[in-house]
Amino acid sequence: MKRPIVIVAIYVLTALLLVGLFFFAVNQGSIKVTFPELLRGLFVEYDPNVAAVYDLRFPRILIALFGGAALAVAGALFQAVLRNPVADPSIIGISSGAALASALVVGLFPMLYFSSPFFAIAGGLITFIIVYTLSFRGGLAPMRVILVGIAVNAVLVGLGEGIGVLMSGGAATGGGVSLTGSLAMKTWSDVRLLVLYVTPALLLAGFMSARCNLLKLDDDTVRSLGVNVTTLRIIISLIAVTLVSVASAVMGVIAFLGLIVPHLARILVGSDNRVMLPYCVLGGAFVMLLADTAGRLIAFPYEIHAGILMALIGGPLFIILLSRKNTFYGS
Amino acid sequence: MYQVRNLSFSYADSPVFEDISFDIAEGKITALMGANGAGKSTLFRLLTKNLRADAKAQILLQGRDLSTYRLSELAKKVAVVWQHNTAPYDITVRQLIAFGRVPHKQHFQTLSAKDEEAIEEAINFCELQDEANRLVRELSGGQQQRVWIALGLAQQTPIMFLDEPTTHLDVRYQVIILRLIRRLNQELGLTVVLILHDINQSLELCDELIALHPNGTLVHGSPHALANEEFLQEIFEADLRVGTIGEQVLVRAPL
Repeated sequence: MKRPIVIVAIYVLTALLLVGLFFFAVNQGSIKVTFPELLRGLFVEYDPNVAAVYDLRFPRILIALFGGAALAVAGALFQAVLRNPVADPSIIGISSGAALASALVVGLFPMLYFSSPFFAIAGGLITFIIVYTLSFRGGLAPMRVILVGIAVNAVLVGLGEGIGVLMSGGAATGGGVSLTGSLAMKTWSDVRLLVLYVTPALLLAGFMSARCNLLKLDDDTVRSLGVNVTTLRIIISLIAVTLVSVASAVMGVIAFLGLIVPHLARILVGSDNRVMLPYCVLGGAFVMLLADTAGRLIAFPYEIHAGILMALIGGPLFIILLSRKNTFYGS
Repeated sequence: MYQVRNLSFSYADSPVFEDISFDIAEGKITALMGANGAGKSTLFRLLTKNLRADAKAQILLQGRDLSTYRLSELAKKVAVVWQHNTAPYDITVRQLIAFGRVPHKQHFQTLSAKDEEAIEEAINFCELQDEANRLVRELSGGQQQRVWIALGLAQQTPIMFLDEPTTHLDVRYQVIILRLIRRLNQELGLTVVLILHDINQSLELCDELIALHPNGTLVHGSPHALANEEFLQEIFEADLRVGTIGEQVLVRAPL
């Protein structure tokens, strides 16, 4: 058990790092503004540099913060629901379903570009329903959900790549339209959409955090405590699907974030969801913004997509986490 | 406590039992016994509402039809200690026992003084004071079993069901657990219903036995009445001998 003082210290430290990273990210690029200039430009008088920063950098930073928080919390929720540490929305196909639906709509009906996120949510939900109905046998066995999810994800990724080739006129350069997440060219309307859906879903996740703890017990035991396990799983999964779908609609597929951040959170603040889920908000925001900012800087003036960077760093890091003792709780 | 009438149950086309009726007495320890596949677990699950009985069956719990209990209501009447329990990663004994208060709380309520008291009582009764702040998964199988019983005890129900509580434990812990169950009954007045595989333990511990016959019927009686060779051989389909050591009836299986 972590002592409360340690947990508070870790929270405060992470929050400070996040604020620091935010101001660092604001100032990376060809335009530089100092902190007083920024405040004056935002709140007092018009400043062309601040206005450019506001229009170009603020949206992608805010999207990284909210999108990262959404993916991390969704990952933690899926891990609670499936009682399985390798449960990640990008592994069981939810992210791909959402991103594919979004890419399809944009490709076939370009005039629907601005409503594509809604289709992504539908895509995430449909994938969720497919995975769940295919794995439901009078209950949801964690391992079956994972296996079905991996198969569904493979089909969706294949579809995405095939459609990507067709849409780019046969040139196999696209490699899957835009399934790999990137935060370039994001606008304030993307931010609004993300915040509109992610905020209430995050609050709901917070309300359910004590219930998530119950899922650490065996299903029979939870039921004998008067809680319908299947209903509980479905409610928590729906919150998680909403978070992932909106995030994937706006950012594309970001792999491993939903795995890595909850794992780090468990190591840092323990596995009590009432403490761990709020930490995932901070941690997810931090890691996503770090990936996006690093991607902007590593090969400046070129950009490495945040999704690619997450996969490159997240994969090995995840293997390290898996090889630690006690990573698998329960089984 | 329970009145069961006209209960039949079958999986697909294979009937488990047909048209059985029995009562479970309040304040007593009752064991469900029978050979593997005779339907002990099925009956256990029917009585704890983990399986649904068919429409013409009637299972009354404290005079009220079991099917009308909501799960949350039932959890205040019936605590269940399951045979298979996975010790969660990084949860202490006290935190685990605290889950026993879930049926008594609204969704977002935190633990009240009354909850803390119930948790403390369960810890003390199961003699887990020294282990209370240790991780459950670090405990031995026998100690863990006491923790799961304490979890059920914290629910503060009048009835406790236990599914093979001594299986996989060494004989020392089997005795510790059986004594704990007897104390639950004698000191706290809990009605106890349990599945036990060991016939001698059943005879020693229980006030009443419910024996499921391979032919789908059921025999209900006191240990004294049921401890005869012919009957036990029929129930378990094995060559069993009944003898006595002092006043203690003993069943043995010659090889």
